[in-house]
Amino acid sequence: MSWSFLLRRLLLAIPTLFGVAVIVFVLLRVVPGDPIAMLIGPGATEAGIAELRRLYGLDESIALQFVYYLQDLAGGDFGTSISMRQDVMELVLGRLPVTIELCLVAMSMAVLLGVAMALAGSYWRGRTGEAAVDGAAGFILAIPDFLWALLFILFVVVFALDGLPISGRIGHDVAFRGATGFLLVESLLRLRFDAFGSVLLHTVLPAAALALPLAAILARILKASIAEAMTQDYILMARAKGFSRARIVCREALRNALVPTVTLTGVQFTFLVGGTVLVEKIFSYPGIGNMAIDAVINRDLPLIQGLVLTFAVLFIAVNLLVDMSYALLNPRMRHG
Amino acid sequence: MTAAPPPDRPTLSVRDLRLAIAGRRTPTPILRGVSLDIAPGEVHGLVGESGAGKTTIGKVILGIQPSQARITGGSVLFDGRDITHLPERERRGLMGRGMGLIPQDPMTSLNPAYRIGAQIADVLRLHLGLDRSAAGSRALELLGDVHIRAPERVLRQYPHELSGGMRQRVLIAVAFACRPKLIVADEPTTALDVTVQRQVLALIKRMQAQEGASILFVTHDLGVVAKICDRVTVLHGGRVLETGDTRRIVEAPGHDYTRALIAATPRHDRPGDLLWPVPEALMARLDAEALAYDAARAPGGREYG
Repeated sequence: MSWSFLLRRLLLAIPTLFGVAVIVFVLLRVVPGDPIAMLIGPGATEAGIAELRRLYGLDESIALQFVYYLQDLAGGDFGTSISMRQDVMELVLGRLPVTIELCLVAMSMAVLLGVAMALAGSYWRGRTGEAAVDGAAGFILAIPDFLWALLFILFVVVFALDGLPISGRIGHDVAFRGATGFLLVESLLRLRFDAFGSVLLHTVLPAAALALPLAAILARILKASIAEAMTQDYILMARAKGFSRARIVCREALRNALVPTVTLTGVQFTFLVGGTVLVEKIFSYPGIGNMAIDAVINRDLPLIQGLVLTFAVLFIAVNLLVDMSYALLNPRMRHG
Repeated sequence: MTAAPPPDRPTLSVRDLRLAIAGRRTPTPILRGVSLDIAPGEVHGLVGESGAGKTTIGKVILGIQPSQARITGGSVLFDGRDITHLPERERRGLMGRGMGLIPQDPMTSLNPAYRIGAQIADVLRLHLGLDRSAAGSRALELLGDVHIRAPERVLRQYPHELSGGMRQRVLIAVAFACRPKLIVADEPTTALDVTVQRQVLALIKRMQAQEGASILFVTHDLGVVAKICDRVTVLHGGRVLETGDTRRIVEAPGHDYTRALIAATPRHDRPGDLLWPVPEALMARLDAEALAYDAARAPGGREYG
């Protein structure tokens, strides 16, 4: 993988972000509800409303408003949150690390579980084990992430699993305030294992809810790719060399099956980012997904705008990660 | 180690081997009582047209037949021991160690995800218990043996960086890596272009002479057989039609089918000769014989059930 590849991908992100910015701008002017009416209490004078309109630039033409909007965005100015009266950029950046860590934990869980299921199903091909794996994948896939989240909470409550927190990100009894929002990474680096354990425990259920459907998709596609790889001549060669079935599946076939799997499932990883909106809300997990729901409820247009753009950046970043892993897995691509 | 085997004992002895592929209703017979012996150091040709069961015999010997294939009778003695019903672990200990495979298609027989060095070293580490560096230096030596230029560089390359001829050389190195007693060469030159074919054939012959291994050389090309094989078995419809010294078979074939095969083979020394397809009547006779064999062997198809 070369730097030019990375640079090209980053340059391609610019038109994508511009498109998202345009859509956000249009949507916010199409949806019903006057943003000024949100800001101002009942009993405002006509003069007061006109004054606010001028302040927010809403008295200008749409074209001019668009130009101002783009200027602000380019300068990193997302405006001020209406409901929280704070700079949107600051608010979003404060919560973003939470969601990033949650997504990374969820993706790792999905990959581990998905690969394990695919390997088990491939190893027991044609036997009960394969049917069990297929059945499990189908069942997991039939339930969307937010329903898994609710089911987990139900389990925890019904079976009184007090050890598993279902709300928040870190225990109230743990005195740890990170300098960054990346609590998992920071607590580990500072050797605060109590805080690390607490954050990890709080992350397990929301991450699992996000990970399960993705894991099932991964398992299905990877298993099919392994089955395809197992018909190749190099597998026959590996058998003739005297390797065991476990080694042939896990080493000879898996490595070749990963490339088509990453191509086919790459976009699924971005869906996981979208899943955080509901799942974070359900677990009161303080990330940008949770914040997005509050922003919508409060009709906090500047905040919604900032969050949508942030999600777009996250999507692009995940896509880039997937493409990079693709280049790492395929020796043919590495050599250009 | 047990006592040295008597010199006259064949390295490989296939006795009345019968095999069928399980079908939806009735199994399809593929091998109909095949017998052949390969002496130590012998290069034994196995000829026949496609569908004759040549490749299947090779796969059964190596233990890599498809899972739907059932051995319904007979035995395969390797070094005097029946290997058709060995426990899996013991069988795997022989594969790659006591016997090796030179595959038909070098383009697809190397794993595209791993470097050449790793794919030679893995079999050395598995069977000979060599550590990483010892296996690496032995792999380098083997690449030199099969006349690969700049072997140090090739060790670090991926299969897609090598030509077909180079890849077949690598696979020959893999086949001979653990100094096996028997090598099954499954149409090893069919996928290569003519100039490379000759080099690869010479290489196999030289490696065989150097290592003293026996080779079962599966091919449809009698011209190749005449060049490299000591003895030949002619196969059709899963039955052995005749076996004998190559010279005798080529110069004075005993079976009509062998004669027909020779007439259908182009000759480099007489390129003007006409080629004759195998006569229809002969084919019909052979098919009838095969069916008669099945009927006699398996009244009501019970043997294969």
